[in-house]
Amino acid sequence: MLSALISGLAIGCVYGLVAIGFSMVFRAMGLVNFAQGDILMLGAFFGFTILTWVPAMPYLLVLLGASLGAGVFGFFLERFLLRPAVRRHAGQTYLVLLTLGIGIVLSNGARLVWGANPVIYNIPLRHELVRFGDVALPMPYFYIVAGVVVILLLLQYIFTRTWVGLTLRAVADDPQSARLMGISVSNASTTAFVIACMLGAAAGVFYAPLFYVSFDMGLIGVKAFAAAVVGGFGNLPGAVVGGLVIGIAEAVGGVLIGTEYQDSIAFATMIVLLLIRPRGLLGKGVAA
Amino acid sequence: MTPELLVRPGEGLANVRAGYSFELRDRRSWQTLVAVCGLMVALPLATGPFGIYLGCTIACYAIAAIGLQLMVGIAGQLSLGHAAFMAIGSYGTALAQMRLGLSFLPAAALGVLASAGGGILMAQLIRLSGVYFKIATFGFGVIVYQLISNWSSLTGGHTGLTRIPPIGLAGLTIQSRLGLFMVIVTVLVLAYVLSLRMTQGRAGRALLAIGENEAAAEAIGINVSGYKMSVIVFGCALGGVGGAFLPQLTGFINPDGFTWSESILLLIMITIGGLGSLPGAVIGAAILIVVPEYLRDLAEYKMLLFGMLLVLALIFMPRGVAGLANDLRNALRASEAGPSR
Repeated sequence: MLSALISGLAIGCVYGLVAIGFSMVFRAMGLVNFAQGDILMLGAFFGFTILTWVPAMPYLLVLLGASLGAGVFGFFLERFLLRPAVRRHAGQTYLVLLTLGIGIVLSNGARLVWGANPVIYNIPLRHELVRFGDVALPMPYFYIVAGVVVILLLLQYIFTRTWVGLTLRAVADDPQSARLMGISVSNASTTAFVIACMLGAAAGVFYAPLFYVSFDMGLIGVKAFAAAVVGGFGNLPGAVVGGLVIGIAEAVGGVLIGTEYQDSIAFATMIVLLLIRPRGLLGKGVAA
Repeated sequence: MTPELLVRPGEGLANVRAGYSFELRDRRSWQTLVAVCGLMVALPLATGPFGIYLGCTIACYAIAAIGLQLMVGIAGQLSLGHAAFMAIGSYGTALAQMRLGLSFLPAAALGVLASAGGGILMAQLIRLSGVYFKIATFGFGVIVYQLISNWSSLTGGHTGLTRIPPIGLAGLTIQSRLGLFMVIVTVLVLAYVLSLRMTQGRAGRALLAIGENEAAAEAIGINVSGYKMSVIVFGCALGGVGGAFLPQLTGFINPDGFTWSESILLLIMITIGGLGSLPGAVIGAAILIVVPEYLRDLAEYKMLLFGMLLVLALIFMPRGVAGLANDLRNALRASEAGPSR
């Protein structure tokens, strides 16, 4: 049970990272990005490709490389596909369908490039264990928790101490006033989208050593969606809290009910929590 | 908030709807119904046994797609788990036939009731607005899928159910594909007519207004949650009707037919056909069922192709095939009327 709790915590951190991405994009662009899960998948594959080219590459560099790759990818995605639609005030139904379509193209495109069979990161980290008395925990858990803490501190720094962060917050609060203050709203939304993609890719690289990488791992992203929703959509600390809640509920529920129902447990937790607290656990979620 | 802001055009579905909203009481929607259903009967009959098999599949999915169209295209309640209701209809009907020994009609009634029940359950989630509702419907789809694939003692797990008894009606057993086709198409026409009636008149206007802007609809006195509930339950029940006939085609079902991508497929059907258009739902179902049959060699690329089709359709013809047809008809009419003026 203890190990389930800890693994839930680690996976919850991964969900939290993706969930932050969802929330940022939603606040900056008013767009619910259903392709975020597939960005995670893409990041994991980018990491895999880097490792195939240079097998001895340090994990940290793999993480950075995959994030940068996904960031560049996200830049083009936002500029050429999403922005035109957002700009002409397309309805939510349209935007959701568009991002869903992009997600399908990404995951099946990845299937063409990297094949239909799951692949693994062939690195020592995969097998390392840390022992506490008679409990052995996989090393990647510690990388994930430490990595997520570092990333959160970094985001906190960006949002509170830099101009970029300030413009992002201004645009999220009130795009029209921000525009009047001379902030380029469209640049801010590109920045938000690129950061979200980088976070998603990082989450993918964190997740990969624990399990495997395959073209259909986008479902993890949708669970991260549940996490963002549980915490209160559009609320960044809420995204992390939601991630942990979903991660732990799923791991503990998996032990109690059966691992084959894990996804159901995650979503059922979300639905029940939403019916009790319609605006998320932290109560600050936006009505969207 | 000023009234202008409240009903800002283009916020809702108007810019993607297939020109349907302005001709609610139009005789043309009945003419279109006759034309679409006529083609739906004639084309499969003209193309032989395989055409009839395809016709059956198309009709099943078209019924479900019409249900989804009412929810998504008309009332703006995007559901990402519609395949779950087809699953409930399918499994409900098949299990009632096999375990309870019922004949098809009462069994299907049970199956459809079960779908509607699922719809009522899901409709409770309308208290969650917008984004929250979409994710919740996705979750609903995942839960139903995992239940039918893991509850082996009831549903046969991943292997599914086999040897499902054929339809028996008043002592007659429907053995031939042709008979089955006639039954399903009749049900399709009934579903279409019912849905068309539902989108006309007071209820239709109310649903369109909700799809456009819920706050504004509420403000002019429309019972928003009541209408949303009814359209969700009705749409889900239609999903169940479509599902109830699916196992009849091959005599077996398994969970693979009701995955997340199946839900997406239904959404692509109504988008390519034209959001908000009932004939569009039928056309979309036909396109998405027929195309892969002729691209068997490219089965691996099926979803890639559909994904691209969805993105391209949204960018280049956001009002779908029905919208194109509408534009064409208007252009023709304009050119006919032109010289005489």
